[in-house]
Amino acid sequence: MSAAVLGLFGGAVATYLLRVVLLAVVPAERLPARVREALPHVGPAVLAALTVGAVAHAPSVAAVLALLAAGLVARRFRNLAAPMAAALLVVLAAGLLPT
Amino acid sequence: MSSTLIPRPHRRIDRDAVREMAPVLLGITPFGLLIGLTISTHPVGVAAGLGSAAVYYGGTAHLAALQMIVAGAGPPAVIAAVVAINARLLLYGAALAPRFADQPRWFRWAGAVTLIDQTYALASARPAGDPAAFRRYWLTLGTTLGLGWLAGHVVGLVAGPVLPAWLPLGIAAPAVLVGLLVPHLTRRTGRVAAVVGGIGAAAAAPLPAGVGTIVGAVAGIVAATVVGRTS
Repeated sequence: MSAAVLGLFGGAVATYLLRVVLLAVVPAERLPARVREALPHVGPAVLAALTVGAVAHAPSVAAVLALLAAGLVARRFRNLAAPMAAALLVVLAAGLLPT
Repeated sequence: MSSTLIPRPHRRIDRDAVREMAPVLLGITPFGLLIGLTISTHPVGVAAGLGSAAVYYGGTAHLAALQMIVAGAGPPAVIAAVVAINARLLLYGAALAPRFADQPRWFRWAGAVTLIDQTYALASARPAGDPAAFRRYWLTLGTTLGLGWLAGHVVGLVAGPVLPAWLPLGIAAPAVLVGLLVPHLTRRTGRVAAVVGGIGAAAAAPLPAGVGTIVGAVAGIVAATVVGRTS
């Protein structure tokens, strides 16, 4: 097996272990109370960090405006296609503006 | 014979899960296309690229691994980067552990395969209920996402080279994340977690891939927990 394939599938196996350890190996009731207290905040914290991380390496005004538009549209429509369409339109419109 | 005596066929597919996942698939399809396009010219080959996609079941770490291999990184570096990027899955696992606690062993091991941002966000937004109903919902959610995700890879392999360059596909996935985030912002602690998490991720962006996300997420979780205690 080549080093490339070993690295690729090694990462895949590591990913599975991260997923399964708290779902099947360590029982939920053994989690410390402080961890259980923090769990409801995992979703918003991670989603916000992922969103910012996705644009932070190549930040642009168009990307920031697109994500703001996506947020505003997401408040109004529960369908996730709506914020995505809004963001695409904003980036396309920004591309049409003279620089 | 009365129709009431005829048992209803067991419903194996949760239609709510398909309905909720469909727009998510639309959002992540461009990302899947991008990875398919990357695999089409990658030295590991199409079979290994697509095979690993099914296990990664997520784009960020898979794409990072593919790019690091092209750049000459060895297996330890690739695996370390993947662990850093996907460390958030531990948090998701911890958050969903109570839903999995009453499930059969096979489901806890097999269901873990489909734990990712989108399945976590949709499943955690539902109230806890009957374990069998959750199992059906989770399996439908994961299968729908997996099939759509891999289909995106295949389309990327085949059609990627002819997609117009002006299509801003890169913004689609972050926009879907925003759509998943907004429902969490109705509570004060949710807003604190998101704002601090976002600022933390931006501040830590210069760190290696994935580390900034973990730094931001942990900062947001700690801040929201402190605010939750004091309010």
